[in-house]
Amino acid sequence: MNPFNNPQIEVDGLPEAESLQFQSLEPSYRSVMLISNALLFLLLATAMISGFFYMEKDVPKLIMYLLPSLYLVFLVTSFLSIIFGFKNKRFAVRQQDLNYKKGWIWKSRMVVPFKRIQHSEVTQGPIDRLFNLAKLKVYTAGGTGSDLTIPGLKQVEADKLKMLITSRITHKQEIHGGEDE
Amino acid sequence: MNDDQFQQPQRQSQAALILIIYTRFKNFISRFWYIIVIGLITGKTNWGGDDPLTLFVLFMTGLTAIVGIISYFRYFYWIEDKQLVIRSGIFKKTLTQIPFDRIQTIDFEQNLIHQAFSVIGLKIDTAGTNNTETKMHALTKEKAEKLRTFILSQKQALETTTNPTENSIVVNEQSEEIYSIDFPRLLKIGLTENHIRSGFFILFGLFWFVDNIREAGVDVEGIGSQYYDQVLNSIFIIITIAIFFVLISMFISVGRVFLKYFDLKFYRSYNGFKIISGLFNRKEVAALDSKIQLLEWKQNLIQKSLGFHNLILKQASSAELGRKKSILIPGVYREDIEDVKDYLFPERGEEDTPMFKLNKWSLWRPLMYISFLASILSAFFVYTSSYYNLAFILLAFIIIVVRSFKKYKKAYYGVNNKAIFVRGGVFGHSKWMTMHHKIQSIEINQSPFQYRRNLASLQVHTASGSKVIPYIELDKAEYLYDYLTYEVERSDEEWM
Repeated sequence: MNPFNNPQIEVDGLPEAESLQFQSLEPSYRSVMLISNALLFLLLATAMISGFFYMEKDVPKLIMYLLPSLYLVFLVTSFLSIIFGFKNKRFAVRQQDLNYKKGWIWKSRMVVPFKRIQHSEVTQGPIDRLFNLAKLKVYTAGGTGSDLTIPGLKQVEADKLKMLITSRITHKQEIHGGEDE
Repeated sequence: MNDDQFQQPQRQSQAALILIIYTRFKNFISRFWYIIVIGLITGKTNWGGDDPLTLFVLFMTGLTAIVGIISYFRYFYWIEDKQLVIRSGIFKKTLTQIPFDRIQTIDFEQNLIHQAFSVIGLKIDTAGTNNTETKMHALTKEKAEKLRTFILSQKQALETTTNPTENSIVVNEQSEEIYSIDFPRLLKIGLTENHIRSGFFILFGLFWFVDNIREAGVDVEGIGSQYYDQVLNSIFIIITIAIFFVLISMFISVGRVFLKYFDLKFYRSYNGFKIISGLFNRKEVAALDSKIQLLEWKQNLIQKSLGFHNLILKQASSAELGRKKSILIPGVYREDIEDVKDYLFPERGEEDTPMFKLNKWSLWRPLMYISFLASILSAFFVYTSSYYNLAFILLAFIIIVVRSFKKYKKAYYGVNNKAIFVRGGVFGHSKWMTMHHKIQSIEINQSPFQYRRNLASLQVHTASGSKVIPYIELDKAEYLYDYLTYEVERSDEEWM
């Protein structure tokens, strides 16, 4: 494209992210999240209970009641947000960018143009592996706030997406002479 | 130009020996100074030959010196095959290779010791996914300049042969001065600093000190309680302390400004800026245009009356280097800022950009929370009849309300086909701008409240940090989201 080319654009002609067909994550990813959340709370419960046993009667009354009730509140909200939030976690790939939206109570939506992606990686946790799922992580130069992770993809799909991104950013790397890790 | 002089592995100037020991010793002191202070305060240390604290200090001093000396003799640098090579390390040898084309800037640094021996410290900034910094303690002035010129000219040659599109040549000596700070201006800058911040620094320092010596077993409360009653009973003493506190705060901020910005010179070369400043420690910082992602300028109420701004050049940075990458230049006038903007973003078209207000809920929503909190606290203090606290809460509430209204009145944002402009501030002004092609990614966030009212916050991520335009109408946010994405994707301009 000619860098001096600056045509006026029709406001209505802009590609709208809102009308995009967003794709849901793999349904089995909900199980992954539920299992890992359950494991986390199991661990916390073990820590809390063994703490109470260790301290025996020295536990202050306030903590004795406050800690378990806080635990319950967090437990319930985290499970609810997984169950109800799951269908809001959606992604879309366009010619030029990667889109992701999420949120059950607090909603957010993000777009990362392929042009700005520094590198990407596919990761797989132990529970992901059980369900043959993977996460796609995309890094930009904008620091952690602007990095994007799309979880709950089929391993094959994640690899395909990574390939696509890599092919889109090679042009840029030629200019920069390749970036090292 | 040839590099004969740098072909052979060589040590730094001998003055580096002193500088290494000095830096190591400074680090040691900054880690353990309170132990020494406690030793002095408690009087338990008689600083005799067999006292454990004395022995510890002597031992550590000796160790620091010896390690420093060895590391000096183990440090070699040379130029080999278009890269700067540094070999260092006492037990584990490290070989650092810096290819010339990776070097972004080479900055000079001169503190008092450097000046006394007429040597120069070098700070070499390299680009890449992980930005890194390499330091050389001291080279003779002549060598430092030769090395810099050599590397930069070689780098330029490398770039013009391999990649003509990218001309990231470092700011050179033939630069034009944008502005410099003379003594009266420096004094004014110092006096218009935020003294409240300096005051907080003193308070924190004090708390930290008390905390540390308490940990070390000094009975702080015991010492304190002897004077506590007498002090509190005398308003005169309180006022004296308050005035003293303000004076000290001012003194500290003026002193800080003098140390940091003495004889500041702000240069422009054709592709970047260079700032040289400092009283004892002359520092030279370079900022390439391509690395600057965001421009911020602000003034507080007093600075406004003098027309001073703090100008901040925000450069692309990695997380490890953090805030060091933004350069603050104090006492800048409006015209100078316009100059900088003309250099950096000549096509910005700021004048004809329509500016929009934030949604009115950006004012009312936080105020609702604050009022709720204030009423609960007030009710509690009325109930416990602690009227001093009540008065304090009400005063704080009034200040927050006034601030919120002022802030809302000043908050504007505008976007044209090249750049984003945001204005803000409470009593003074605070503004920032960036160009579309510097954007890395864009986000829309909605709290439940914003969702119900069709509002949203737009967050723009650049390589020098993120900025939020809070509480705008959802359709505007969505339009900007789509439009900015489109602009980033179609732009062929490099962001760095």
